[in-house]
Amino acid sequence: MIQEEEPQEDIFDDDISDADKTALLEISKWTRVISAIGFAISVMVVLPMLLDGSAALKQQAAMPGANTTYSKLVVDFFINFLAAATMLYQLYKSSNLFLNGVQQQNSNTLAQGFIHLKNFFIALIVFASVRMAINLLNFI
Amino acid sequence: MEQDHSPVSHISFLQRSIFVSAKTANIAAWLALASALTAITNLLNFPLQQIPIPENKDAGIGEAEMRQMLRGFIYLVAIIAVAISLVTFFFLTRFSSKVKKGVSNNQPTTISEGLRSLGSYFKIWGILMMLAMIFFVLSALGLLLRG
Repeated sequence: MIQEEEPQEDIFDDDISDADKTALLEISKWTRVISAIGFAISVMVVLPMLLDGSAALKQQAAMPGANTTYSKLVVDFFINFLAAATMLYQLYKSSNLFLNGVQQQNSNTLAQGFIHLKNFFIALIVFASVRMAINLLNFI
Repeated sequence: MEQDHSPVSHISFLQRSIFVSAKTANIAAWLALASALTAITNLLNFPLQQIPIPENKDAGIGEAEMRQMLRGFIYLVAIIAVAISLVTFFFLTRFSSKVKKGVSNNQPTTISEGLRSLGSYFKIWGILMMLAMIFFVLSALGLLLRG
């Protein structure tokens, strides 16, 4: 059986300098830190919400000067939760791919890492837009 | 068939991925800054007078002084938030502009500068997340100790 050789043109040694490798490892390290701490904080927020979240949100809505309702707070919580989960997942994936890409010297893996990073920025765009809309509605 | 005449039509899959990521990062940076500024404005407009503030008679602090302290604390939080927003905005837009310029003009050193800026951006958020985690753990410990 004839095996086709993998194309070598994308192998990264030719394209990426040591400075880039160092920068990518730095990005990988800090995105891993952010995603690990983010997941830990999410668990610390979600667990109490599962146990007594309804009462806590009702209490918050009833606070003087809160200018909101219970249903608005529930929607707000789920928006924040979904956005945080998406962003943390994309960061975690890009962190792993950057590390593997540098270690295996594979530019395709690195490119996949940047695609996940782009997805992280898209999630950030959606999250920032929703938050800005909510903030602007509070002015009215 | 129509040919791709964009300035990045000749580049590899990796460079194209970095370029698209940088373009998205630029939009994200502007929207994140705008969102942060509206949130800070909301915070500064918060109707403090509607919140009942108990006097601290043991420390000899009246309600007016407590309200003044709370107002000062809100200003401090707002200043820190503006500073963080501006610094992260700077690094993210720098990453975006350097990478776009580097890929379009085939300048590897400019791309490296851009990647270092992205590293600094995530480093700032990483340190802030560590501080947030410490704050969470201390708050939880405080609540447990108070019963």
